[in-house]
Amino acid sequence: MDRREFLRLSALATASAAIARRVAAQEGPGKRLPQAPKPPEIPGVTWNKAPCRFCGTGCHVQVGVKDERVVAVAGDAQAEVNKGLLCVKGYHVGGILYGEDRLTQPMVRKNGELEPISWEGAIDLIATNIMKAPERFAFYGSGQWTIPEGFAAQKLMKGGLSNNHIDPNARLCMASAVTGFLSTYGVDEPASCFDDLEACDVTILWGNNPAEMHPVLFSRLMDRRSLGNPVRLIDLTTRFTRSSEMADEVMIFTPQSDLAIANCIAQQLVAKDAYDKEFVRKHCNFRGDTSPPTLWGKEISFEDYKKSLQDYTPEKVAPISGLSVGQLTLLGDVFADKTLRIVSLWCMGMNQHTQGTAINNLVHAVHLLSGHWGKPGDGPQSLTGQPAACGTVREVGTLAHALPGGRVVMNAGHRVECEKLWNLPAGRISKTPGHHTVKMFEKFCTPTDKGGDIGMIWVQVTNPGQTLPNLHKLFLAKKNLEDKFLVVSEVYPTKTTELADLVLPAALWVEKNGIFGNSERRTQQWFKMVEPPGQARDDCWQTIAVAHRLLELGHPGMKDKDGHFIFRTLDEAGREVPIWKWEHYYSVNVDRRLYEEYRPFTHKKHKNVAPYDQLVTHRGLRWPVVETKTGEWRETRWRFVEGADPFVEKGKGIQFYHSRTKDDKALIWFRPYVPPPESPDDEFTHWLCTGRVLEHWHSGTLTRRVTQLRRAAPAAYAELNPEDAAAMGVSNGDLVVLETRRGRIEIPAWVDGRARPPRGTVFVPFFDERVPINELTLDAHDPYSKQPDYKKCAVKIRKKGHA
Amino acid sequence: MSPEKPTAEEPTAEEPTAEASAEPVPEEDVTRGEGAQIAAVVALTLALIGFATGLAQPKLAAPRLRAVPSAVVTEVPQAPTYGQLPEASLGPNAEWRSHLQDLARTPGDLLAPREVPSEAAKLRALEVRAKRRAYSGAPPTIPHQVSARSAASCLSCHETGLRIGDRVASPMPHRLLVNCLQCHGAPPPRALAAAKGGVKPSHFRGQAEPLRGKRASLGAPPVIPHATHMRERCVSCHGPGASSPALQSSHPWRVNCRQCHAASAAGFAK
Ligand code: SF4
Repeated sequence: MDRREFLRLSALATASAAIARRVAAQEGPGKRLPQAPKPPEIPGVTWNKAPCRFCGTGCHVQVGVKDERVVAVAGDAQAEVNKGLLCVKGYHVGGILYGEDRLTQPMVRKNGELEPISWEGAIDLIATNIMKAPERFAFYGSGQWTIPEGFAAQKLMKGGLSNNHIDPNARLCMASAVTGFLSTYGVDEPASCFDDLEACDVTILWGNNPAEMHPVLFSRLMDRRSLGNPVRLIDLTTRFTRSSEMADEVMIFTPQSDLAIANCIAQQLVAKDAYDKEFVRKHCNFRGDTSPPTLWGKEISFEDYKKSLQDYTPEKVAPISGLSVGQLTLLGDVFADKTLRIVSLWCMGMNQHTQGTAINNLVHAVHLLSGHWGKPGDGPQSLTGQPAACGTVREVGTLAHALPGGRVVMNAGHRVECEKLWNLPAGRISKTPGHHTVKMFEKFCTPTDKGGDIGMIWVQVTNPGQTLPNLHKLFLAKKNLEDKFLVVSEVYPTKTTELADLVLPAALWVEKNGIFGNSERRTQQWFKMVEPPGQARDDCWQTIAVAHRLLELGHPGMKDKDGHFIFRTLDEAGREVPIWKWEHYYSVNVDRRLYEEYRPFTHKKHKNVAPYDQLVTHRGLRWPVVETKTGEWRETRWRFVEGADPFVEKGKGIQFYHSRTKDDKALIWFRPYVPPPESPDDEFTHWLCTGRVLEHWHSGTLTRRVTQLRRAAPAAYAELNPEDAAAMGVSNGDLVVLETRRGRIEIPAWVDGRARPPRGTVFVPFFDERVPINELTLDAHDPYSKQPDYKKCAVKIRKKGHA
Repeated sequence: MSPEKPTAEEPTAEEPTAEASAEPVPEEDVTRGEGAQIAAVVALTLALIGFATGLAQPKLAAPRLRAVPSAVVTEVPQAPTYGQLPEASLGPNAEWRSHLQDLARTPGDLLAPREVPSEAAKLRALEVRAKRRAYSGAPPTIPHQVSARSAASCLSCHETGLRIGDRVASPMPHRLLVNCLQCHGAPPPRALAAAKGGVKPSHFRGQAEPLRGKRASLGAPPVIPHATHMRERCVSCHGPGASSPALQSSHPWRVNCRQCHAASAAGFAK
């Protein structure tokens, strides 16, 4: 035992003793949470509920408002997601509203400088530009769009302009999870829920670091240990993270070999005859790749499946994965043990992957094959990074190929249904999918005469200038293209506004009404609590105002079948309210109006979201939400499971009622291990992995302004392995130069920092606008989901000033 | 001062203030709140300056706890190489030096005589609190360097609380939670201490720390003026040996605080 190991063990021993004392002091292990808090009587402070602005966990906060400003935040003890706890971002979420440089005035670029313009002028400028060439216009949004915002943008584009060039940043974030669910279950979105975290015996992290990225969920899991209800944590990772600190097993694998590891688990289950025959017989079909491979593949027999797996024995996978035969066998044994309840968690590690769909398929496959599916605490759970990645992107379908409620533009029946629900003339919706994110920006950055068929992009609630991969190619190239027009609705100056031709100040979080949808199908509503600063206005209003201006300019798509404006809104007396005029926007609840228009769309795929008025009185409700005979609204914790999901027929137990094979069965996929598009070589010697940190949320435009968060994580860094650092003569804080085939940056080194990469690996977070690491990343993407891989490419690294 | 003295010292009995009088004067609270807010802003600015100069050290936040100059350490210690790192003495409190004979543990003595803190001392104590919190009720930021990654190392001092020499580690006021850094922001890591610039800061003005809770009548126990969610262990701030003596209870031997001190009423949204 070396000294470090000794220290680790003695620290653990101290902690266990401390934990034991505390548990003894508590009133038995069953008593988990304190009573709902008694809040203080603080003069002038009123409290209201809202979901946190940041991650897909979807914690609820109580927001304290005094004199028209947010002055305090508290964890909402009535919220099931977070039970009163938050993370450091959530506790400081109020600070994001009051950055010194909030954008408060629409601005247009003239001779290279941004100059003030009136709102009327700005709206007119957008509309006239769209009118010039509606088919060259694209809308780029995000999983931070509220549901009504996304729905309005979706309707403007697909239902109004007959243009499908609308895509969200979620394409860069969870598109592969979508294709994974679709090709496995025939319908998107997680079937399980966060309640599983309390019910499981084992949690497996697949390239996931929830201690930093989904901290409240991680606490739900880890707090069990101190409450006398332990859980075993197995961490499959490419670097030793804060989550690894808490893990019972840390398995550091070679990037991309997750595919081989998952297949190896399946191989062992089959070879040892330890798979769940009953479950597989009743609920599963087998699926394999066609050549060339497609999203839907082809049916294969169990024998074919077994044969495909034969190259994935622990002995064969060990050298590919870097794991030992013992570790691989342990994983196989865990899944083979029917007495255990196993939750798999994943997020960007599996999704930002050139084989993202495949690895999603394979993790579902090991759960289905082993029968670890559909019991509380037993099943795969995909996590999302944005507050409405599920609610707005996946459910409203703000993707280039999608329509609301799980429909797609390629399907004639789906188009007809949407035209009907929207009361549009037949044929209004175009059947050709629009450009996905990478292609949209590639076309935008390509000169018009060279095939760049996107001339104008309107960006709302996201910062592609920092978050797109391979930024030189996909964003910065816009600089030299005079005829391309970039509109950005934002709250702060960002890398994206730097190249914008028109900047629109937007309202943020509780400065507007909103609805989010978190990673466990939970739809969450909040009300506006404070006024936005200066002339900042809701994104949704901006969209509707442009639509109305288009109507005035004579665009025929802005009218429905009966000649009414597509966003026509009536008050209680049945009179039309001119919501396109800002002074009238809050005379009615536009959120409620749009959401209720959207709600019937969700019924087709049994994603029935709760009525708006129910959301008002709940801390979110998990769909499908159906009305019971007694008039109550009941949510669903486990989808496709009898007793939990109201749409499962009696006696079925588990019913995948959107099955691709139309027999209520899910698909167990075999997808082979495919090497990554770029691996370290003699010149570019290291793996480069990018990601987030606890304190900052995505590109940091909000959290970097908050003192407490900035103090804790003041700058981006290159996280180095100590031996690599020593070999280069690099110490903490030294500048190093990172270079890939696409770009080059200088960045301070952090050796043995908050996480420890193995030799030959560098990690860089992407939150820091001064260190645009995405100028280095790869734009190679998954063939089906079109999601790029930000987690692995080859980089060379040297100390600054050394050749 | 005799041990009995504290009993006679229900803090406000000797120092009638607006809150202590029979009439509640809410306006007074508001004004005071603003005073403390200004103080908080000043404090925040100071903290920012401190941050900018790389001086987010404990002494900034807790003036009473200045480092003890050591007579023993004379030469500047050599920076260790990476090879030496595992063996090097680089704890979170490495910048604090003392020597063993000075480090007599001074456990909080329940019956120790206690001076009545002045109003000014109490306000100063609240100022110190405000420096480390975005608003009243925010999880405090960590004043010292953190090199540890597991809760065990935080708990070794903050589980029951610890006073060594003039250093106080407050016991955590909430139930056991094991991912400490999830909520408590650490100072900038040394490797990144040189980082400057970037985006502009936020002008968020947090709710000020409340002053003393109201009393129903002269001599009645004051209500708790702040939320108790995540602050269920009153001794963390009000117990003997708490980091700010001015906030200590005058009667620390009584352990069932909420028997007499009621929570204040108005509420979070339903
Ligand atoms: S950032 Fe995520 S985990 Fe943290 S408080 Fe917000 S929703 Fe919860």
